[in-house]
Formats: sequence, structure tokens, C-alpha cells
Amino acid sequence: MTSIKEDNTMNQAPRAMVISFQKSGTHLMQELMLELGYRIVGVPRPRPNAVPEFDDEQKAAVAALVLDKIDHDQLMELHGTAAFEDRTHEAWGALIWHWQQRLGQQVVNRYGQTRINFAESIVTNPYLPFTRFADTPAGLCWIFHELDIHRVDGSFLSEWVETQSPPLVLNYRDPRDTVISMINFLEGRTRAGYGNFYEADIFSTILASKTTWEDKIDYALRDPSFLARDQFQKALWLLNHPKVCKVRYEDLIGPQGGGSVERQVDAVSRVLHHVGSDLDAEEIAGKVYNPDSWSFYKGRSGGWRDRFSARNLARFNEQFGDILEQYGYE
Amino acid sequence: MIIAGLKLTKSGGIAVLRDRRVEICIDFPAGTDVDLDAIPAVLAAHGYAVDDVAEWVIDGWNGDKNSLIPVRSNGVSAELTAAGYQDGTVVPEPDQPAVHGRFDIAGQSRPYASYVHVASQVAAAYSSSPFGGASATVLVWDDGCFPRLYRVTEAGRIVGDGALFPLPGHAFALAGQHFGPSHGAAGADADSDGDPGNAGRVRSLAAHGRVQGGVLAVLAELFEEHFEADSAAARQYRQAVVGCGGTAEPSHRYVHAFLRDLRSRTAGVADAHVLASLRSYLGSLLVERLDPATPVNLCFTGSAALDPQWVSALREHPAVEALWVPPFPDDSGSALGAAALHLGRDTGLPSLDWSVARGVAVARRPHVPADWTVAPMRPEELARLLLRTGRPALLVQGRATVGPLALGGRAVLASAAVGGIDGDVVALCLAEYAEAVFEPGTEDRYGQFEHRVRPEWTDRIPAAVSPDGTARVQTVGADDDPILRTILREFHAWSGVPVVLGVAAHPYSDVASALLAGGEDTVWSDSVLYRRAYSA
Repeated sequence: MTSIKEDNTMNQAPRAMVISFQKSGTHLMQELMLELGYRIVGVPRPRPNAVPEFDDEQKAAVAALVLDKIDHDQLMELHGTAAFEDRTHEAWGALIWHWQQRLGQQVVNRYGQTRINFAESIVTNPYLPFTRFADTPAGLCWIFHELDIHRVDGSFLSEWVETQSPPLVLNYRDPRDTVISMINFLEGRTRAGYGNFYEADIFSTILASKTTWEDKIDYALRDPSFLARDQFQKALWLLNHPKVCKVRYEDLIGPQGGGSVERQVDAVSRVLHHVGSDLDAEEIAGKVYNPDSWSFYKGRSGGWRDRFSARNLARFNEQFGDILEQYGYE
Repeated sequence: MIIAGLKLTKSGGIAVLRDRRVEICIDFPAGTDVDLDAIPAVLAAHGYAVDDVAEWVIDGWNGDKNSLIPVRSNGVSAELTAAGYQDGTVVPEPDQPAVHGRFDIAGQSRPYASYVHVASQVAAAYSSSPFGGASATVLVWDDGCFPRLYRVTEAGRIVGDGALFPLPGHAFALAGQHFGPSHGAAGADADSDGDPGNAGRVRSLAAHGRVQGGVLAVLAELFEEHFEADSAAARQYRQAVVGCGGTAEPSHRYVHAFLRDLRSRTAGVADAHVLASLRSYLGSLLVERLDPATPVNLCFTGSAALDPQWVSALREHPAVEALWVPPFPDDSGSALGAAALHLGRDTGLPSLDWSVARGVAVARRPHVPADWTVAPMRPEELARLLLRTGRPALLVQGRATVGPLALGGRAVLASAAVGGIDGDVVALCLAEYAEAVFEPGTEDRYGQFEHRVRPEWTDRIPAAVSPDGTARVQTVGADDDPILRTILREFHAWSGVPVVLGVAAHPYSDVASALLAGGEDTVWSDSVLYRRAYSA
């Protein structure tokens, strides 16, 4: 696998985890972590040069986590064959879904129950649930949209408290802009449609049936099941935890997105410090803005002012005024 | 009103029209005589009962007056009387039923009407074209008839305009018995009226050759001598052969004689060069003889319209304003055409609401055959699998496509850099990149035109390139098959190549039958990957 940059591996955490709210510039965080040499696992759509690439030794190590001793020994006899490639690829897939489950991710509604069933059909190692996050391959950054403390496997929290590994980064954005961005996303205005979450199909159709922006926003605010509606509340523990690095979309976006160089470099610098990287923050900051990202639309902040009606704003403040304040947007 | 069109010859097929909308257009499984007792099950698999059908229509077949079609009915062999092959003195109005009769479906006698075969093809072409409501010229060159011109009036009436030249369409396929590896096989020297062979295979052989000026000159002489001269022999040919179907007249005998002379006169010339020259000569004849007084909207149909070289040549004809070739120009569109004729018998040919994805649906089964594993897999992941493994995968998704050309829900896909699939391969290409990869690379949603692979791409998609540097191309745009488009987009994102190789697969009606057929170790259907256990 392409590893964390050689000149940077002495102190940089071998694994990292980013919790980036939906429609809060997850692609910016992905670009940043790629610049640090990590490969990406989790919710971002896979793309070349972002997904892990394992050498045979690493593939065997992954398979060792997933398969029991007998199965693993049999697999090793297939080394050098297409079957070895297939089965180690399956093992890696099973490991990903295993950890998505343990981390309380919304797998069933977004990807389907069969992902879990398939992973379970591959796993033969009874010890896998007892392995630690530190046993997962090095050089990866796991990016998710949430880390719900009521759903996450306590053993992961215990490991994190004990080791502070992986370093956690929380990325968020003005909640009013996330509403507008989510509507744009679900209506297919981003570069490559609205992605692979099955649930997105439902809300896309609902939004298409609303004829005005006011009605779309009103619906997004009033339906408790609307995508990402509760992500700010559920992440208050991350926002308030002193060991979590917090960055904002409005800072990461930099001058190309209407922000400032100073705030962008500061945000990048804090992330670099948090994961132990000694790379140059200024140099890295200049590379995180990527309008070619599949989910990119306008890459600007404050767009909500053009879309929210007075009625929308009143409802938002009534429902989410406290969230706005806690996240520092009022 | 629901009309069912039936083609009861070869393997047979059925098309169902609900008013102007094409609901079903499928071929029956290949076999011997069509079994009428199987029709209720075919309809039921697509949500219809026999009694839903208000009118039954049968496509005509070989014969100058009418045809006798062998079928299975009520468990025994029987013969149905249907219309003949083409219009003429017996049937002066091609868009009116030539025969009425009754047959048993689901244990009940039901009336049917039958229209001449060529008219079914005219109707299938015009009614699926963008010319609805306007006049158009339809050129039909099917296996059993001469290249015939028809005019469809603004009112949707079909008017015959004669033939361009007196040669049945099967002549090119028959050439495969005289040139290439099949030379000397039964039929070549036996005046056989049997299966003329596969024109597609002859085109593949021709792709290995180059057009030779000397052979073209010989062809011109022999063509005149055998078919068009004012000689006793040629007059005898034109009396004996009128283009009413390969088994209804001795056309094979005369074509074999022509081809034997061609072989004799081209001794020493490589077979592939002769076939390439013959193909070019016949295409040129089509273009030269098509000489309308005013520019026309042209529909080209019949089995000859499967030849991308001829289709492309007609598109370039200065008198052709717009060209339409249905994706089902051969017999696969005949049942549909018969139904369209019947719908428009009083009001003129309709403009149909159709889609190429009206073939067999995928039935769901509760079990997966033993020794197959299943895994969830999005189309994007399938694209990455094709790229990562270099191994082909069979797609069994949604409705099969109608006709032999367009790929869609039943196709074997593979990386065009690797290949590994046999047959008449198609380069499936993202529409927006087609002009960069191919010349001309213009829109070709059903893989009908001739394209050349640009030199800078030949090494990147070698498995898609024919020996003559051309490729069959199917462009896939935003309005085309969404699964294919997703696969192509993802493949392009990961490889920089906007092309995936494809070949038509059997129109499986369920995944299990595809798995049991054993053709591919990897089958994808409805976001599930089926893989033979531990296949390498």
C-alpha cells in the first residue's frame, strides 16, 4: 500500500478518523488527509488514488483478521492466483463492513442489509470482534458522517480513551448551509448526482415534488427523518470533547471558496498537529480545494441567505437556534 | 386495445401493443416449430392473460400468395395459413390483412389476421422512427426479398415503389459457403434451399480483407450476366425468382451459380479480399440505385440493415435527409410490425411509444443454484471488478433488449484492454467521449453504423478493434440504459477509458438459468454478484 509519506511517518498517527457532517465539505477533509499520505475508507465515494492498495503481505494480514487459522492457511496456499486476489479482496470488504457496524454506522438503510450478511458470511475468525481498531491496516483515514455515541461499540471508545488513537477530527459547517447543500445534492445538482445511499432516492423524489425553495426547506426542517437533520445534535459530544480536533468548512474552504488564507492555514495546521504531521500547513492548505470532487456544487458558504425565506428562518431559529449557538454560528 | 403480434417462423416471437405503447417484444426460445400452447405462459410472465388480447395478428412468411406455417397446437403438429412474403398482384395493399383465419390459444379458437412479411418490416421501421406523421421512404432488404422501396404517406399508408435490383438479401450470407473456412460445406455446390448461413460471420471474414478493384470489375460483369441482363438466362432467373422468400422459390440455386462463377473468376485472390469486395459492391449498388427525385426521410430495414457499412453508406447518400434504422431490422421486429400494421389498418401506420428495453423480463426465483456465492454489488463496484480482475461478467438486468444490435440488460461485459469474450463484440462507449475514441463517433445508440478506431486508441482497446480497424460502437448517453451508463462512467473514472467491451447474451428470463447455462463464472443482476464458488 502507498504508505504515509516516508519523511512524515515518524510522528504521524498510522490511522486517523474524521467525522465530517453530510454536506459540510467532506471532500475537503478527504483531500487534506490524502495530502498527508492516508488512503481513505468509509463514506466517500471510492476513487483511484484514494482507496487503499495493499501488497500481498498486507492482504494476508487483513485476511488473517477475518479468517480462522484453517481458512487462512488454505488461502495462503492460493498465493499468486486470481483466487487469492478475490478472497483477500473479499476479506478486506468484510473487515470494512465489520468496523462500520462496530462504529455504529447506518449501514442497513444506506447500503442494504446484504452488506452485513455478506461480511458475516466471509468472517470465520471468532476473534475478530475482539480485535482493536489498532489492528486495522495502517496508513488509512476512516471518514464517516457520524459517530453516534449511543451506537458505537464501547470497546472502540475504551481503546480511544486509553490510547487516543485514532486521532479524531470533527468537521462541520453552518447548519443553514448544510440544509441548502443537502437539497442541492438530493436534487442532483452536484457533479455526479446524489450518490449511493439508498435513502437518498426517497428524499430526492420528495424534494422534486416541492415546487419552491421555501417548501423544500420547510420540508427539510420539519421532517425528523430528513437526511442529516440530527447530525449536529448527535455530535455535541465530539464538539465539546477536548481531545477532538474541530475544523469548520468555512475555514477549510480557503480563498477559492470565499474564505481566507489565514483561517484555512490555521485549520489545516491544527489538523496536522492533531495527527502528528510535520508537513507544511501552508503548502497543504493550497491543495485541499477540489472542484472536481464528485459531490462538489458551488463550494461557497453563506448561500442560505439567498434561499431561506423569513418563514424558513423563523422555523430554523425556533428548532435549531440553540445548535446554531453551540456551533458558534450566532 | 391490446393487440398481440406473432411471428411463428424460425424461433418465433410475440409483441404486445397496448394502444400505441409497446409492452412486450420478445423472441421465443430457439427450438423447432413454435408451440402455441406456450404463449399463455409467456404473456403471464409479463403480466398479461390471453383474454386481455383483443386482436391477434400473424406475420406472413415465404410464399407468393400465402404461406403455410408449421406450429404445435394442442400438443400436436399443425399448419396455419398466413400471408405471403411480400405484396404484389395477389396482395396489392401491403398495409391490409391478406389472410384471415382462426387458431387455438389456451384451448379456445380465436380469430387472427395476417399481413405480408415485408409489410411488417416496413411498419416496424416506420412506426418506431422519428418520422411519424411525415412521409418517408422505406428500403427493405431482407433475406428472402430484393431491396424494395416503399413510400409511407403522411396519412400512414404504405405504397410499393418497386425493387432497386433483383437480388435477395441472403446472397451475402450464401457467399460464406463459397469463401472462407466454410467453403465446400454442404450447400455450396448443392443448390441448397436450406439455411443460407450467418451474414454476420461473413462480415467478420470480410473485415480481414481489402476491396480489390479487379474483383469489383468481375462482380459488375457477373451481376449483370446472372441477374439483370436481357439474356435468356437472366430473364429466366427474374421469372423464377421474385423475392417471395428463400424456400418459396429457387433463389439459392441462382445465387450459388453466381457465387461459383465469382470464385472461378477470382481464383488466386484471397477469400477475405473477395468477400470485402462483394460487401463493398453490394453496398455501392444500394447507394447508386437509391435515386429519389427529391430528398427523403429514409428508413432502412431487413436483415441487410444489420450491416454497419451499408447503413453508414446510405447515411451519406446526398438524397437522404435523415436516416432511421430500427434496432430490430431483422425478423426480431416482425411481430411488432405485424401488430403495428393491424393497429393502423384503418387509420394509417401509428407512431409507437417504444423502448429498446421491451424484451424478456427477469423473473425472481427464491434459490440460487449450488456452488454459486452471492454478494451485494452496486454497478459501480461491478465496473471496478471488471477492471481489477480483467475477467468478463454477464449482466442479467431488467428487460432484455429488442433485436440483435443494442446491448442492454443481457450482455457479457469485459475490459476492452483484455477482451476474453467471443462473438460480435460491441464497444460500449460513453456518448460524450465517442468522437474522441472513434471516427466519426457520432451518436449510435443501437450500434448500427461503421466507426473507425482512432489510432491513439487502438492499443488501449485492442479487443474492440476489427482487423480492418473498425469497431461496432454503441454510444451510451444520459437517456440510455442507466446501469450501462453507470458502469461506463465508473470504468472511465478508474481507467481513463470510456469504453467497455460487450457482447449480446442469451435473453435469460431469470438469473438461475443464466448461472446454470454455465457460460460465465461471474453474473451480475440487480445489485447482486453471483460467482461460481472459488472460481479463479
